[in-house]
Amino acid sequence: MSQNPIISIKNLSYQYPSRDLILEGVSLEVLPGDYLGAVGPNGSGKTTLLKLILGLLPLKRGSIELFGKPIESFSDWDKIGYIPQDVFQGDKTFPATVREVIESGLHGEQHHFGNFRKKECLPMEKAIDMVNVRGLLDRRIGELSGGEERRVFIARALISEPELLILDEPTSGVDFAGEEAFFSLLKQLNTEHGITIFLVSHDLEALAHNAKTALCLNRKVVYFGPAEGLHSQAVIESAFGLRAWHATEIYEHGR
Amino acid sequence: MDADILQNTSFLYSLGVALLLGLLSPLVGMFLVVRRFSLLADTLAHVSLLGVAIGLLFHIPITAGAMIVAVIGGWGIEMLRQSRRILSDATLAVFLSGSLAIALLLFALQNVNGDEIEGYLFGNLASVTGLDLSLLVMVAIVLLTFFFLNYQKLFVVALDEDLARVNGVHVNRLNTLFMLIASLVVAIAIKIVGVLLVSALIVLPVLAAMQWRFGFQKTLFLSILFSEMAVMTGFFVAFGWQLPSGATIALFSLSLFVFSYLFNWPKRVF
Repeated sequence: MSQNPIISIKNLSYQYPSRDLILEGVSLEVLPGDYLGAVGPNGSGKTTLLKLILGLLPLKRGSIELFGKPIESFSDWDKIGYIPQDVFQGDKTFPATVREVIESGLHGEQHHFGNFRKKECLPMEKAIDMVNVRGLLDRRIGELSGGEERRVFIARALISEPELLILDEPTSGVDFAGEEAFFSLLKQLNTEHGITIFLVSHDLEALAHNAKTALCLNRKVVYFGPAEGLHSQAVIESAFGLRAWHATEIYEHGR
Repeated sequence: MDADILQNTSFLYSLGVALLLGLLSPLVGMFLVVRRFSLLADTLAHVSLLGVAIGLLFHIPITAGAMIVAVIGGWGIEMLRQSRRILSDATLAVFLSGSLAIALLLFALQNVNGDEIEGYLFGNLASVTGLDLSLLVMVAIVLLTFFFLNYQKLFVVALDEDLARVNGVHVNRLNTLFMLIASLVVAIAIKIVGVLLVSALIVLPVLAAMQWRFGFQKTLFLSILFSEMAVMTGFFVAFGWQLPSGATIALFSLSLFVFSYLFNWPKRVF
């Protein structure tokens, strides 16, 4: 199998108007089947990196290629499933059922007013079972817990049968048990279904234990390599500062 | 006899306008409410009033004046919002007070009498003309086509704009088109419900329907049902008792909301 990178970033820098550089000289590659976790303190540029990869911010310096195509001319967005962070932010009133939210992932192919051809229902049914949300289909999306909501958005992303899933802080607002279940779902999607995963999180511990590859950002790339390497003192210190490393030490020894 | 026929035609015109508005308003309102942009309807109504004032000044049909100015205002609001230099709701404040101020000045300069202004503020069935109905039929065709073609896209944009962009939706273009169509609906709605009560027509039926906690499509259909109920009851009460139609329609919309809210009380999630 060829190993052409799914994401290829070269010398990427970004600066918001009238502010300092938030990303500087970032280069990395994400290979098919990888499970990459990007971590870094607040303001380290990890969300900016994600938005640049998704084409939500204009590329200014450097280059990004998705599936071998420059992002400026990339149009095959069906290959990428995006799971946004905490869509409803506590808004329980949004009038949509889980089923409607998942169905809306069939963008471009849907019939009007939600009538889907039978053929298209197959991946939908499969997606629903893959992330185990069948019991939630008739619930209203705003009434779900954070973890349930994120699973629904994964199901929504899966129905266009993406090769790459991009997740923004998927475990924010999710309790510890929900977080464990969530990471095991991601692992399953990655290992059993071969879906490449790129997720951004502030949770260094969770990434170190779950991802295959880790990217530690603090404006520049502090670390890019096997996820276990996140535990090294040098990495944590240069990204989060000395005190963070001590805290992690105490956490590790207390386990 | 002639007067009777005139009366009848005018009645049919206003009935037609009311029926169509009852269908179109919740379609616009639904997407405004879920995107937390409910006050847009009020703002566009005030901008439309400026259009009325300009229409009187240049002796063009006032509904046409209202529609033209509302579309320009709606476009301006959307551009200011997309520039992200001002918060969305603050954008509305700029347009709402600005256009009302200019409209009042233009009315004063033209010595428009208080009764006439009151008609624009609170709605006046007798003011509806055949031209209004023709214009609204055209708006209805445009709006229904737009919604039929873009329903799923509008839904995803309502969920999350960034998600919609990643899914290949041209979000800014869609929002601008939606804004222009919403402007046209509001510009005609002020004839029936008046500038100050437009929200009762656009927002209240949707809010009432949302209390029943259904999914998106069911909520949309229920809000159209509620809207037609309020518009028709309000219309005939206003017509029968010579009352301002804006007030009667608003009151029936409000009753439907209060009923829906209280009926669903035990199920409410706080």
